[in-house]
Amino acid sequence: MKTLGLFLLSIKEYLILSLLIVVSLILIFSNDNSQVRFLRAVGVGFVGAIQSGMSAVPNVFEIEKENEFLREKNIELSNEVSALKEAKLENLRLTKSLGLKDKNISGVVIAKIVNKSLVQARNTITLNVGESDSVRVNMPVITDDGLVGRIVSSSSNYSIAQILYNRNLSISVKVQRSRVDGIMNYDGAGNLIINNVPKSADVKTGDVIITSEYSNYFPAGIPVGTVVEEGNLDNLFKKVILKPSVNFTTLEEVFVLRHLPEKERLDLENSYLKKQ
Amino acid sequence: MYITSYLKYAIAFAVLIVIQVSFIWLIAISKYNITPDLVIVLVIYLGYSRGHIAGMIAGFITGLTLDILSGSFIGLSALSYSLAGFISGYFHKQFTGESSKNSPVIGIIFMCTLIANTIFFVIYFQGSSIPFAEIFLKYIVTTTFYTSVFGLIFSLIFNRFDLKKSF
Repeated sequence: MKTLGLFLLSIKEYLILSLLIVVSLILIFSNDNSQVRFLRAVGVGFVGAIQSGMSAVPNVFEIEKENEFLREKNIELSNEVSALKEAKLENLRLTKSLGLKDKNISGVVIAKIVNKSLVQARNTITLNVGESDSVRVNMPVITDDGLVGRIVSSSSNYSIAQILYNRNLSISVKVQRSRVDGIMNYDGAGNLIINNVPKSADVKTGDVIITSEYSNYFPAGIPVGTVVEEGNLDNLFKKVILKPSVNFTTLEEVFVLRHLPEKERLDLENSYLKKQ
Repeated sequence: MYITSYLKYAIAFAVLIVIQVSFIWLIAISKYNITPDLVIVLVIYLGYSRGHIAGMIAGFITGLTLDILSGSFIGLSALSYSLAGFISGYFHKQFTGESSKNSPVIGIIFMCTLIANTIFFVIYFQGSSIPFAEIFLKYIVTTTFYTSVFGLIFSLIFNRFDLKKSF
């Protein structure tokens, strides 16, 4: 302590000089004239140059902190990228759907599937549209790829539709190329089958199947699927297996067609059947 | 004894400051209004006769007083005068020696004034478009020479009447 005191005493002139210089500089920099502004700018430039040079030297603590920050930012950005990808896919689907809307199919309601089953014999999907959206029982459900099914139940804001993979749904179809008619059903074992196709009928693998004019519930010409296999059912009829146009596994949005069976036609057909 | 001595210095400084602030313009030369710095001469003489500490503290106080009275650049004269007083303190041993009468006081005044003026004018002209060479020749050198002339007069008076004993 004594040594330090003696040392400080030996350099007292320099200590006092330093103090006076510091006080003078503080006074100088407390001015607000152009000279001081220039000196401040020079000072900032000088300090900036030093800091720039020093930035090349790695600071372990800063790097650790920066790493932590970057990791957090990375997670945040990954989540954002994931959300953006999801939004992009949704955008693509909706854009595609809007393309369908442009095809002059009037009276469609866009619906989102909120629940679906694909493993039962009577598969259905639940849509987020209902009677408040003018959705009624028996309206067809489609996508831009083709037929999905038919509404079988509706509430105010939700509705349930039978899809092609439902044993209770039978659809009158025809082969687009050869105009051969038939009834399409789900066999409950994973296949869509067209029954009642005569053995001599012109049906080939790859033929496109569409809804027929004979259908009461579906407008004619909606793609249903393509023939993937055709073989003999018995001596009179063929067994035609279809691959649906719609990929039900990835299905998320659909259109409900505001199309209902013609009442007059239904009444006439029903009264005739009763007379039989 | 010291108190009386410092009081004399204080009175001398007060007189010189009044002259510097109020009347020095009467002897300004050239279109650049170059004036001698009478106060710094006494600061240098004080540092020379009393050492570093006396020189720089006197320089700081008188410089700050001049800054306040001029009101333009607070702290600038305080800085340059402090350094002038400090540097002149390096020649303090010569003052106490036998050869003090023959010591080149005028040289010390010139050197210290040159340093103080350089600091003063370089900072004062910061941000202006005047090149350093022009500042050096038109302001620093001329002011230093003009001040040194008065420094020479002072030193002659001091030596002639041996005033250093009275201080």
